[in-house]
Amino acid sequence: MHGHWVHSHEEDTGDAIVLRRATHPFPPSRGRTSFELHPDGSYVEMSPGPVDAPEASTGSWSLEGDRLVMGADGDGSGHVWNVVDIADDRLVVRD
Amino acid sequence: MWKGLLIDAKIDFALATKDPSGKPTTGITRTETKVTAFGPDDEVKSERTGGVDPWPTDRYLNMWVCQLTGGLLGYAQFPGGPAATDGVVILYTAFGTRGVTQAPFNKGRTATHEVGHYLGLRHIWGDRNDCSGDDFVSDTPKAKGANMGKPKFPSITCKNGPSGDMFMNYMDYVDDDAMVMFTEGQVARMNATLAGPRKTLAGL
Repeated sequence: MHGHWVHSHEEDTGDAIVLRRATHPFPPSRGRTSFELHPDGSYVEMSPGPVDAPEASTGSWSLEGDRLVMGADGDGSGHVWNVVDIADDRLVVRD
Repeated sequence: MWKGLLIDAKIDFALATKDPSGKPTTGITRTETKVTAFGPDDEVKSERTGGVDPWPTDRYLNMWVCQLTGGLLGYAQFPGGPAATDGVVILYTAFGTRGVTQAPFNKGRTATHEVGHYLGLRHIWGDRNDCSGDDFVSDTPKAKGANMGKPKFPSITCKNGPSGDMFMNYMDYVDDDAMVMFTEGQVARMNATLAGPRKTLAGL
């Protein structure tokens, strides 16, 4: 599961969120969220900042059953994702 | 749905006709560089890092058009930031409406969005993805996050039904042909910027 996952929002369907590895040939976008899940349980998330340049935030992640729990450091909002499908190059989650 | 809120900002920019030394200009300069793609780190804004320095930012809105890394379409700087990096940066395939522009970002809306930031506007979702964000404009509804592509109406988040997110606003993240409006509140905020921190630009 670890590695650098980038939101491929063009592939989203309904409430399913599709992520691809950073090496995927993504088209241009106003902004793209990604997270790098490290084996030691930390993560770095890049998301569009207030003037569109990406900004980094950090936190800790864990897999609890089918749930990917990302707890942000500081006052960040974090996420809990339900993992729907995972393959080498594609991760599908729901909010 | 938001017909009563949509308003013409009546803010016009024109290509510069005089350069900083007073000589006639087309308002466009071209700079050769060895940098194949610039990051979102202001490197395009300085000759030292392969870009080109801005013209005086109290008199000119500087727009740098270049290749950007990571598929980024553009980025801006809010009013009140450093003069050396003031202005907007736009991916060359998303600038204007002709030539090498590529759909779905070929209607010039990246410039509209970035100049919105330059004039003090925040993203429509207030830059937090949990309904607690604020864009400091009262006539735009709360939204949970950015909308992408060409969303289906309505996109309801943050209990903002029945109209949902105002995803057709220039300050969301939708495709160029899906964004059509600023609100009265946003125009008031831009005018406040032009009467305040960017007042030297108004009426030039």
